[in-house]
Amino acid sequence: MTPIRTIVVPFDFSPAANAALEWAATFASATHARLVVLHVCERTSATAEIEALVPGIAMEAIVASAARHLEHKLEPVRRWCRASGSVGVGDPSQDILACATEVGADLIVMGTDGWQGSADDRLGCVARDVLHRAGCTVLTLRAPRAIPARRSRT
Amino acid sequence: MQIQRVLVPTALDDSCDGAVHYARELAAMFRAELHILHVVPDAAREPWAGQVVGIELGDLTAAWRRDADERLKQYAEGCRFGPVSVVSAVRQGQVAEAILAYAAEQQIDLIVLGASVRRPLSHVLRGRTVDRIVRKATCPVVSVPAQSARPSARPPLEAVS
Repeated sequence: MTPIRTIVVPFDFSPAANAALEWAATFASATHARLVVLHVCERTSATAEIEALVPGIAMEAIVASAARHLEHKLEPVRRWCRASGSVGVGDPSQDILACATEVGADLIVMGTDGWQGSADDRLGCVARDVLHRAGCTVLTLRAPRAIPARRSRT
Repeated sequence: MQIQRVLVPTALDDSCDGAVHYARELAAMFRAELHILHVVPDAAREPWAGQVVGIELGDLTAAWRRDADERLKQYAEGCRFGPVSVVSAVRQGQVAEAILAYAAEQQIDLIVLGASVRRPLSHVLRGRTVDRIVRKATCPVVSVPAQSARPSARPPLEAVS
C-alpha cells in the first residue's frame, strides 16, 4: 500500500456524502492526508431551462451557492485535517475521475448513493461508474440511517 | 470511526495479494484484527452438477473445503507478522452472499476487495460481485484496483511506527 496522501471526496450534500466526508476526515487526521472535496453541478434539463431564461447567470449562481455551502461544510472538517473544496460543472463521474487523476488521489471516499438512489441497498450510478473506472483505491459507504442497527457482539 | 476488524476475502492465489497486503496495512494502522476469508463454491450449485455421475456432490464440496482449509492456513501463516492478529475462515456458498454473511456475523468494520473479485477480464462478473457487496454491506468497502496488486517498494507496516 502506497502511503495515502491525498483523498478525494465527491460531495453532493446527501446523507451518504456526509457520512463519507466524516469518515474521510477521521481517516485523514490519522494518516495526515489532505482532503480534496469536490462538488459537481450537473447540467440537467432544469438548469438548461433556467439558463434559457437568465442566460449566463444561472449556472454561475448555482456554482457560487454550492461553493458557499461547501465552504460551510468544510469549516469543522479543517479542525481535523487539511481540506480544500472545489466546485465544477459537468458530468459527475467523469469530473470525479478527472479530479482524482489530476490531484494524484491515493483514495476516493464516497457514499454508495447520492440523492438519486435513496433506496436501502441501491448503488448509485455515479458511485458505480467511479468504482469501476477509478485507477486508485475506492472506499464506499452507506448513509448511516440506511444501515440496520447492529446486534451486540456475543 | 472505530476499526477493530478488517475483512479481506481471498481466492488463495496471487491475484488477491494486493488486497491482502492493503488490508494488512490498514489493520496494522488501526491495530485491528485481520480476517482472511476464502469462499468455497457448493458443488451442487455448479452448472455441471446435473451431469455428474458416480460422485457424491456433498463429498466433493467437503473435499474442496478440506483442501481450502489447509491452503488458507498456510496462506494466513504468511500474513502473520508484526502487531497484526490474523483470523482465517473458510465458508461455503456464493461469493458475495458468503462475504456479506461473514461480515455481519463477525461484526466486520471494513471489507477490502481485491483484483480476484474485481476481475479485470470479466467486467460483468466483477461488476456484479463487487456491486452486490458494496451496496449491501453495512460497513465501508475498500476496492483495490488490479494495478495496486503489485507489491509496494516501501517496507510493509511503515504506517505503524
